[in-house]
Amino acid sequence: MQRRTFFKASIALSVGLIAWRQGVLVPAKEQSQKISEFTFLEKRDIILMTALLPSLLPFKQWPIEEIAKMSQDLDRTLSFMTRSTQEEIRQLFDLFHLKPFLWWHGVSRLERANPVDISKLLERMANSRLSDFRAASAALNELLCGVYYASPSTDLELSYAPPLDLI
Amino acid sequence: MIIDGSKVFSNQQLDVDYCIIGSGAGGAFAASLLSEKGYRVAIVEEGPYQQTEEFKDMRESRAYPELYQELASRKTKNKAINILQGRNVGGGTTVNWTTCFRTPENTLKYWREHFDLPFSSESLSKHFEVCEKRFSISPWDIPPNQNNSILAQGMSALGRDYGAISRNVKGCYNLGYCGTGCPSGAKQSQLVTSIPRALALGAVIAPRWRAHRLAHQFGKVSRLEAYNLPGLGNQSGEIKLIIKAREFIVAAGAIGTPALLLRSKISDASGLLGKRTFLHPTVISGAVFEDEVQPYLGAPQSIYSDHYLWRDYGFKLEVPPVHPVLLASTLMQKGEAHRELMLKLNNLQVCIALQRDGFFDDSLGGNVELNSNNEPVLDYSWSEAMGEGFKQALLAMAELQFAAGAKEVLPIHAKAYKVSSMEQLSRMLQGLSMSALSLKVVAAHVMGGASFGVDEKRSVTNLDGRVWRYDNLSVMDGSLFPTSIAANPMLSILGHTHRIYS
Repeated sequence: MQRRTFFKASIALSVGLIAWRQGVLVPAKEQSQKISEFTFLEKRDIILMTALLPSLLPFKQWPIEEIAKMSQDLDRTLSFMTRSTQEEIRQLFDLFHLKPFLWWHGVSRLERANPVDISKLLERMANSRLSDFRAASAALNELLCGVYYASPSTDLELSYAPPLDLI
Repeated sequence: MIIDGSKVFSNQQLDVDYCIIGSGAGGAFAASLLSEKGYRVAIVEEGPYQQTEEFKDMRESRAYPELYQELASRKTKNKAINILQGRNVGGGTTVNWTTCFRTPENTLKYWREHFDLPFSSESLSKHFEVCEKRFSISPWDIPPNQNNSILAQGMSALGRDYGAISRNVKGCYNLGYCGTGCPSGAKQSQLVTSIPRALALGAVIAPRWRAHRLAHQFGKVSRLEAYNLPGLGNQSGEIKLIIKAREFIVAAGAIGTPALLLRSKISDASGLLGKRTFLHPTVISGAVFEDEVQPYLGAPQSIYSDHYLWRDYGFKLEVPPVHPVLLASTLMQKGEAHRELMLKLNNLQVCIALQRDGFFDDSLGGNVELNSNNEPVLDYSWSEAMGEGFKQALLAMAELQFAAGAKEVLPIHAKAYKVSSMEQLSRMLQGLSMSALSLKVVAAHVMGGASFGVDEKRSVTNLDGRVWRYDNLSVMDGSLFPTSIAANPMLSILGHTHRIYS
């Protein structure tokens, strides 16, 4: 009887371990991805930002501090979205964490991708026969460029006359 | 009295004569007219109640999250159209570009012939006159900014007609930041006209509450259930507002209104509720000029052209104010190409062509649906013929931009590149697809989805906006229109509000 219980427990443990490795135990996985300061972005999204920013906004350097600031601005922006839009953006970000998707587009690991690889990936998405990929590629560009140029610090770069001070 | 849903801690209940959902052109104006008649009115609004003082920074980064649906980036179901829609006390009138047109006679003629609607320019003129007086709508006497001047110069050089736009302003500083909320209070939006008037007469305004459902039985609505929106975010809270009223007027915009009626399972014999939603789908052409244009300064819209409007898949030409975030999120280029265009902001002139939708058998508009979160989604697609209309519009805009002296023109299309002559542009456009997501299509005028009519089998409401078979439920916003207006719709909404509630 004891042997049988031990056997059952071993199988359960093995299945549990395999499931965990495959990311099936979603709640536990999500728990570990949370960043307390952010309402939307997760740890793995910062890796995505690190990969995307030098490709979509290539005219400036992206040290970790700048990525952190941009992530903060993006997180705040996304917090204003409706639940449905947030869910769609989550799906969009999660797409980039799917290894088969990255492999299919010639990127082995997001962490090691260079801006050229990411640009090619976005280009392939933009030219895809699947409209969802085309929409996703456009949405990423729109979202990150919108957030970047929303900062008053970009006024000078654009020679955009800052608004007058109205009394 | 103001009951701000972002600041309450307990459930609220109101008992009034009229409960109005939405505070834009239709809702707020109806509220002030009914308050003037002595009725007790409550207005429920999803967006915040912000005052002129809060608009003085003139920043897009503040305005889009706070004053617009989905940070000014609401999209259709297939993500192919960006919809600019206000979400604040005052609705679209708080953030629009002050452009006022009466409903064109051609549109009314089409309505008479196809929908048996008894409206004409003559029969509506008394209502428009009252609104024009009340909201200080008059021709804009100040010379147009460079962005608008180029539209006039180009059309003039081509020998084509154009005109001056009337604006609803009083003592305008000619700044150019209408889209971030008027910082001087000059814009005679509902925020500074009807809302204070209604409040002074005892109306209740309830901002930051999302209307969830109308409870009804046997053709009579008994109450509205709304939930608060805590903080600045866009997710409903758990605190409830119940409004009991004798009459309910839904004026939540042509996406919000059908959505609320669908959520409430309002019966609709026509099957048209949420159907035939029109947008004036708008395509864009950018042009680089040698001299500075500064397209963000000065009254945003003061010149228009209807030269192409009444041909098949015709379009109205206007210009938009071009501020950094709007430009950054409109350009379809990526990386360095996107940056290069951003750096030309000061020398950029932008034209927009608003397509007249709803006037053809293959222009049926979109459908408002509810998704799994019970939130509205607009499913809108366009026909090949309408796509051809987009191509004609891009050609027409480039032609006028070159005629006005543009060095380079760039249609806002994923596969387009800058060209320096009409020959190059025509060649390029021939090979470009006009299908969804290929080119940038935007919209700022949502209309239809709960159209008025004379027959309950062919319309959602009667001519007075009263939902068929309901004793005390009405619609009063752009949802009532059976096609697009073929002009900026604010004055049309105000006119019908006056016709019905004065």
